Amino acid sequence: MIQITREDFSVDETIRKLRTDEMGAIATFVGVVRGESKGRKVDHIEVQAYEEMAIKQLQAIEKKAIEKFDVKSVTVIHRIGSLNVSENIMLITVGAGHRREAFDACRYILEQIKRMVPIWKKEYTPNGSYWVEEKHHD
Amino acid sequence: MRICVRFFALYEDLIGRDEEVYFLKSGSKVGDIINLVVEKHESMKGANGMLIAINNTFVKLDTFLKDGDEVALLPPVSGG
Repeated sequence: MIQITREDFSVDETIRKLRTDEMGAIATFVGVVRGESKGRKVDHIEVQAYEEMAIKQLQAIEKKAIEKFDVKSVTVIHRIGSLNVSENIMLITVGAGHRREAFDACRYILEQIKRMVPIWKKEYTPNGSYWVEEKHHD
Repeated sequence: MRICVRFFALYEDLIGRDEEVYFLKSGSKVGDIINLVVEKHESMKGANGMLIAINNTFVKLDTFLKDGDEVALLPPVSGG
């Protein structure tokens, strides 16, 4: 399940909807707004998306993750709009038979999102606003 | 050919708008429209790591354009 939304999400509710008898493991990642970035205090962020393409890319990542890691179900929820420090930005949940593929798929999905989904974050600080430049971890 | 170019994030800030229309001759490629954008907007010179999409699919500079295409110029992404 893929969703781009301005509304906050419930991790418990998402896991409840994803859970099936086949699963022995559910791995979850929650991205949140950090209050500091490169030595600057962050007041809030703006998240912008090229929505039609972001959804298409997220659906492709979801499909690939399910095939590659043989997991049962994937949910990705990404928020857009203005978000305060410590607010939720993104949720990834993966349900699988076992923990190994659940963790591996979750990590894979996160790294793919950071490479190829047209979503951007702009940080607002006392010294001005800056578009985030993502570092990729290989 | 009538091509709609959309700008996002940093590029929208640099250019001051989120969309422009360009007219090119048949046989033009993505690289041609990038050249036109950079020619028109000096602030886009040296825009590193640009990703380009046509109709929601990533493409390369040598991809041919078609009349009515929506070309999106995307800065390096930072979602998640």
